[in-house]
Amino acid sequence: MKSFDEIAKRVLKQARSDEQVEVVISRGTEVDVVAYAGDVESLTTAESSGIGVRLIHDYRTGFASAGTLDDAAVEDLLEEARSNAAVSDADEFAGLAEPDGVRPCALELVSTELASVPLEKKVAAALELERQTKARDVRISGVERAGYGDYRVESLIATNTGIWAESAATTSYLTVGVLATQGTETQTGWGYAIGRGFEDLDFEEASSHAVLRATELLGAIQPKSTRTTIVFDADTSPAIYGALAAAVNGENMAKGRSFFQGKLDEKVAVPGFSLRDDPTDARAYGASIYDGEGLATRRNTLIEGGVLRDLLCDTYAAKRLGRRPNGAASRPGFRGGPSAGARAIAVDPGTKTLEELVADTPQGILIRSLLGVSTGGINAVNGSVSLGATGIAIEDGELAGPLREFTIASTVQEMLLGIVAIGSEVHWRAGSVAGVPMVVGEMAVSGS
Amino acid sequence: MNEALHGSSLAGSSSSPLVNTDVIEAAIADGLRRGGSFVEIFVEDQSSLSASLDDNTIESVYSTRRRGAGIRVIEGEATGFAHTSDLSPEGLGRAIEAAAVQATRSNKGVRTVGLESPKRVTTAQVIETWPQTVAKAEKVALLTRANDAAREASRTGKGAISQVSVAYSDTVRNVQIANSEGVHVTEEQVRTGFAVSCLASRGDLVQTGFSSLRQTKGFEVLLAAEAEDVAREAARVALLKLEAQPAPSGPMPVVIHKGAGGVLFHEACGHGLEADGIAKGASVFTGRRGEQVASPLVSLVDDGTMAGEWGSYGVDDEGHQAQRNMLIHDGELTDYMWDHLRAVKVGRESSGNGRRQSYEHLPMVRMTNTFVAPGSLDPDELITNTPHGLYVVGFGGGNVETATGDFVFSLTEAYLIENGRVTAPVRDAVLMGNGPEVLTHIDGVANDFSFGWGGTCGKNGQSVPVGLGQPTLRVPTGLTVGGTAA
Repeated sequence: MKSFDEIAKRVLKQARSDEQVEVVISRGTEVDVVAYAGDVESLTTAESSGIGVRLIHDYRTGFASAGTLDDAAVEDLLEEARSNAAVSDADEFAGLAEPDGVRPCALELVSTELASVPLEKKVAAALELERQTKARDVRISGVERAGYGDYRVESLIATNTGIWAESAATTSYLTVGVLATQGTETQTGWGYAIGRGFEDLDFEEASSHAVLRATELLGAIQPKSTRTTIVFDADTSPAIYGALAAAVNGENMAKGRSFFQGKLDEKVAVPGFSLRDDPTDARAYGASIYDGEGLATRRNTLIEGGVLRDLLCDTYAAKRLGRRPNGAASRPGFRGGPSAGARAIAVDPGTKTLEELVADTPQGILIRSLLGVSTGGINAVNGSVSLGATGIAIEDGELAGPLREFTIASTVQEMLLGIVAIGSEVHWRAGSVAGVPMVVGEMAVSGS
Repeated sequence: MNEALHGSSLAGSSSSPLVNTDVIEAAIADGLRRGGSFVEIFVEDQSSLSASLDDNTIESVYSTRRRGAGIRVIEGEATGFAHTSDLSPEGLGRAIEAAAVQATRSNKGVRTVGLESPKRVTTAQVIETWPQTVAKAEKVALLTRANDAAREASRTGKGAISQVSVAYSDTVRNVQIANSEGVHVTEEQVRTGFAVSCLASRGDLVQTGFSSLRQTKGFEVLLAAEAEDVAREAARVALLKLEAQPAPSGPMPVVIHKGAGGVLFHEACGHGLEADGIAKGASVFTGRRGEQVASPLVSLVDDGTMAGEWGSYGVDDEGHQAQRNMLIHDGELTDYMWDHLRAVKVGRESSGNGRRQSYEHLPMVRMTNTFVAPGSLDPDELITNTPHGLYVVGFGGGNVETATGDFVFSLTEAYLIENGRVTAPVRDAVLMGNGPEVLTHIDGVANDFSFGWGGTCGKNGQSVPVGLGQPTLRVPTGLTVGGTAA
């Protein structure tokens, strides 16, 4: 098997002197075990690799990718990208990243022990997760899916503009979905644990979370329509922070797709609200040494003290806005091109635990799950929010009965200005956004 | 003029399988020898071209190739799965070994299966213009035409189209599926998609509109003025929403325009009728076959054979012929949807619903084109007989909690119904309810019908194309509108 180095150099050598060429190569291995009813339901092992080529000539961009590192496939890619560039439009802002002198941070994202964990131990983990979850509560009528998985990805981004960024990371995870039944009613709950290696996984965290979420919803009723205080927990707050990540995206801003249009250096949130994207934080699932264009990642402060301070910019967005790229290109692997995007968004935590936040709320709803987040419930362009939800009623600072079949509505802009408190726990989860509890003074609740 | 426009089909005529029959046969025999009771090889070679325009510029043109094999070995309750992009006999051999080791630890003795040369599946899908035969420049030109058409839709004084993005994609997917039960088929699946998103602005107000055309067809779907039509529709919705008032909140009767609500039945009912969820007790429809689960006006069908529809195919990703399956007939739950694994467990045939995103994924039960069959009423009467309510003409996406059937959908185009007449447009709303309850409440089904946009259905991390459709119908109770009006 050829080395990344060899493949990349071979492709870059094909570039003509007036072409900018970028090569992205990745190779990965994965294991996935699913347990069901005390047995292994499925076990997947796989190796995959692929390469993508981006070519810019005369300000025109073309891409080509292949899900293999076969010589023959690699050989054709540059020519294919070239022919694609020929039919796209010239864009004066098109261009590859160039080294900007920022040194990559030191991050260890590879678990060295993961490779030596035998398959049997991983299979046993899935089975144990199922057993443990089932035993946790008599109302658990079934474990729909309990699984262990891990993967290792190595990648290289190299360009003929001087970028050479090699990195590797491992991830392992547990996921469990349960059914809780009481009479004829069934509710579901999910839990997971995630880490760099096998030893990082907390079985208790995954199983107890799933069981609590399913059982606490049993007997849920539909609330009356009202306006009330909404408490988001660490599972549900990322939906809102995710919309902010889209609004501080430089490309969205340049193209009129951000509800923060014209708000740079203006107040957009309460003074206690600060938002940062920091992929150099090793705790973040999206932690990374390099961004999707091969620039060093860095800590970017986007909102500080309620004032919009910065935008996430890849090279393209930066050129459009007359700014500098800040290591904030994201990329969907070798199959896609880069675009500005967050990797590790987190809100600065407050001082109170979720329990204390609930205790401080005379009347409201603790939101436990949201429906419709990625299917139009939050409009990242104009900020409108209208989401299905489940949750627990809060009466006089105490958790009262469970609620389902209701929606909460507002706009992200109003919510930011109506924040009452931010919680103290920062929960790093799968994806690019940390869960940090948040209390919003008032939102419209639609129910019966 | 591109000579290919004259209709030859370069790709359609290829008859050599992706992997030779003897290699497949040997690999399956190897899997059986290693103790599997069922061995399957799914080979896929997919080429796609996608192009996107944004902010008046054709930003990227992208070619993608994906080629490899997924190997499944089943023994007892356990499935072993391995995939590889190496289609050589050695590559397949390693994947077979990995899958077999996972599925079994015993040796069940030697069994071999003789395979015929692959049977090329004939389907209802007729591809007139194979995408590989159309010049890239011609595909890309559609983007510009659509962009122009959308921007021309601006209305003086009433708001302007301020941003347009357009995406074109075509996919040619060759599959070869063989298993230890003697199945050996190949099929070439062609899909073409076109989508337009618009922003309309007036002052500080910004609204979005979206429209798409997705078909299991070739480039012919875009040869007439369809690209412009899609663009004008997206622009119309965005501009309309500038005029719309915030939606009301609370329970109210809802009339759903034909084609708009297929997604609701897909999410809120279809997913609950998938045999994998049924088997795990994770569906409200578990154990209810033969029962009246819906209003007698409702018949729900899943049909993978419909020519050109987004969720159609000749064979599913397990080599079973696509078929038409009646799920609910006159309100009675008649059947679930099945894949190989679930069907074998209860001793029946698969219903042709075993699908996977790619060779890198295990198949599972998935819908194809799911729709409510037309009834007998005049659609206009459904509105005139509704004193007060909401008329929904466009749905965005939605989510459902399959164990409870609770769902929520965002609305992209909706109007108030006042005194039996459609009046003001409303915006920023979601529709919420419970799937099984809604089914029982439906009190009027019209004699019209339309398929809505083809969609992408996600389940357990895998996405597949699906079709959706329904006649105009009324849900008098059980739906709650979540709007922002005070």
